[in-house]
Amino acid sequence: MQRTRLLKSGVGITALLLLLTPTRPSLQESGGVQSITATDLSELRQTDRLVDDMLGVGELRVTRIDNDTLTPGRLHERLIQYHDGVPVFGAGMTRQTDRGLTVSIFGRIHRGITIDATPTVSASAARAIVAAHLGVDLRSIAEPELMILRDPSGVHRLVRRVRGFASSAVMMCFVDAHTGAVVWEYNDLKTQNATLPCTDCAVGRGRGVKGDLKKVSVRPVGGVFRADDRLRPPVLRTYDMRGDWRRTEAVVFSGAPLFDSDLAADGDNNWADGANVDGHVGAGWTYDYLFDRFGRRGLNGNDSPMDIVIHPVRRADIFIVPDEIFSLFHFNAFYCHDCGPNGLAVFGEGFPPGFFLPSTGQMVDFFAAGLDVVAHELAHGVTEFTSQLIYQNESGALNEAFSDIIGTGTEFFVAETGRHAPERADYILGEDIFKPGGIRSLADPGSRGDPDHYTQRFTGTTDNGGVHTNSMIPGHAFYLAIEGGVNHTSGLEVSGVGADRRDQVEQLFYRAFTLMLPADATFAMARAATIQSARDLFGAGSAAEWAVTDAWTAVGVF
Amino acid sequence: MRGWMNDMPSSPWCRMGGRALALACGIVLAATGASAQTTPPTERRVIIGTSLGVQFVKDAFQNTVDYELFQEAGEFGAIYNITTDTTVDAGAAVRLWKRFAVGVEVSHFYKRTLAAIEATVPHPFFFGFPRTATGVAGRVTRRELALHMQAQYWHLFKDAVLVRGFFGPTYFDVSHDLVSTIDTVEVGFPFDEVTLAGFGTEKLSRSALGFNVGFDVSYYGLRELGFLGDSSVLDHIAMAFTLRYSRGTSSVELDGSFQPSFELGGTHLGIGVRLAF
Repeated sequence: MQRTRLLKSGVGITALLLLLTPTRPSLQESGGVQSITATDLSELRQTDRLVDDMLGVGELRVTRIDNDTLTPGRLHERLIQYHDGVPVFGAGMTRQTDRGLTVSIFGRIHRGITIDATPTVSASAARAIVAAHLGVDLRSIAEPELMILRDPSGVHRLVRRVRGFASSAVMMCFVDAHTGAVVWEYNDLKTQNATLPCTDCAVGRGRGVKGDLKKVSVRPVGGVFRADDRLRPPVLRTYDMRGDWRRTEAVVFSGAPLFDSDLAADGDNNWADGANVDGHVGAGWTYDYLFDRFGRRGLNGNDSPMDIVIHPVRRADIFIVPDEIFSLFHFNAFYCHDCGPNGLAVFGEGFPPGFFLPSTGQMVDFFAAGLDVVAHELAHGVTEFTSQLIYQNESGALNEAFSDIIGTGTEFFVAETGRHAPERADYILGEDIFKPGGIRSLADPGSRGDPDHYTQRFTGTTDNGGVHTNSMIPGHAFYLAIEGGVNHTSGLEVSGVGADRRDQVEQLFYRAFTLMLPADATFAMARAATIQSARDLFGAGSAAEWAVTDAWTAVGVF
Repeated sequence: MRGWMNDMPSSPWCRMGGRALALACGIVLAATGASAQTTPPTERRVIIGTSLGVQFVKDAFQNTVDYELFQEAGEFGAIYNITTDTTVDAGAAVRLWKRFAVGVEVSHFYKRTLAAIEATVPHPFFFGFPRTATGVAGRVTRRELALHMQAQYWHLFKDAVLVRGFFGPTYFDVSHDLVSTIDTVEVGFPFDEVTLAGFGTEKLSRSALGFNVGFDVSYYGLRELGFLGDSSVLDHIAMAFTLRYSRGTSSVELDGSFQPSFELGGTHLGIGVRLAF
């Protein structure tokens, strides 16, 4: 509305473009953490100087530089903050440059760190502490990392970060490197929460869980066909654990190896196992979507192998397995970046026929049956290789929202381009698993009990700070930016870019979330980054910029 | 008109030597005998001749082939354009009664051409999402041998120009290269493009009955022109012009699928030599 008045007042184009730029201060300091969203010239000049100064004294280090696959010529630097040679957890910046000129900077810098960066608790001692804390064996876990953590009370501590596999979680534990106390922990398991250029490749056919016919890219070996896609650039493997939950548990949580014989297989290349078909094909389609829409080559952008696990448990064992096994292997799907040699996406088995969720009356089918869910989990891998959004609170909700966006985008990509006519694309997550109705709705979050406005966000501590419910706030903004509509809470109406230009919104969100957001990003930062991304990709004042700006406003994020 | 039999030894053509020419002269002499020396063309019994010419052809057709790739049916079609090219023919006619004669001619048409191939190639990842590949198949040939049987009517103009009108059935024997297989090469991921790397052909031979109609104009006044000499042999030799239209159709099947028909024959325009005796 404000912009409409500005337009009517006859402000010139140049002035209008300047007014479109956020006018709030870009450097906001709260409790010693400085949030940076610099996109206009004066802010950039100031922030660029800050970045260069910090780089000069070693307080910032460039950890990676990515070419922008959507905007040729642009580079994105990812910088991590250091204090006395020790990285500060979650602190850092992303800087976008265009032929040497800075275009945008987003990040969070921690101020006033004065602690001694010399640890007194050794790495092995920290492992032992976490092992005792979680009650698990940590021998297969990577070396603990020394870092500086700003704990929930706002105090900076020198810590050792230890990833520990509990039976139903991947816990990220932070051990005070001076006192040995576990000062913070969160579950880093990314879940779908219940709530022919090769000689060794072949194409088979199979029917998915819904009975739809799909092509299956496989590898023929000794008279059988294995779910090992060699047609796509990365190795893409689907392991069938054949319901052996103990072995699945060992693979996921204890680092037990997977073998060729674990690959899903079929004797005549006419695949009958719907979950294997859907999982394997869905992973391939996710790769296709990332490549087609964003020019991205797989999870790490460089065609790293993609491994997924199907049938982690037998449906019939639903009443005899431990609760955590039921929770993960029957009633969930998740991505574990540290599982296996390449990370693993595991898709739950669902409920036996005739069993329903008591709370909703829904049946729960194989989790691999949902293309949006397969893509969702693999998108967590993309996040791990890019922004590494911390799986807690707002950054965790952004992490989840990004996966929902990729899941939805993949579904539309496959359905609306004629690649698979039986696929029905929508903005509901998990509709092919939780029947009827799915589990989340980007179009109408409230219909599934999720917030559609920032004022209604979940502020408790469960679910890592509500990452699966607060994700609907940016998710709904994504929906509004495409389809338009009225936010039920604010009553604000958004004119979306339209379904025929959904690729624009998908691209600007992807670009912002993977290249521009720091690990500890907030919703406000996501707003600024997506608006900047829209400007970069489609021009200042473009329909995409208007749509995404209005969408964030409608969901109460400023 | 001088009798050519007596002059044969001094004939410049026969004197020119060459075993073939001598043989030809001998055949002529043997066939006509001593009585033919002053016979006008319309009264001669036998005419043989050969022509070199062009056959005006415009035949376009397509064959389609179904195949299976990546668990799905694909299809390609090859479009052939058979156009004008050279022909050779040879024939003979025998006058049976008055000006009525029967004749037979054999013509040979050979065409090397290109075939435009357009294929819909199944995608390795998706059903019902084919790619299109195009290419050109070279060295596709059609060989057409036609036997024209003719009823003829002979008419002489100004003692030197013999016009023979004719019509009758034609027996065609045709062989044609049809593209029967294609080789595709995937450009690579995302497999949106595919290229044609090769093709295979199948030679089809078929026969068909058709008809022919036309006329042949031959000039027997070469001796009078002077510049070829004064041999009496020239009385039996004519320069000729032939216009013949022949037509036939032949349908073929390839791998069990129906194919369009070949249009055979065409308008033949030739010039050549006739020997009458």
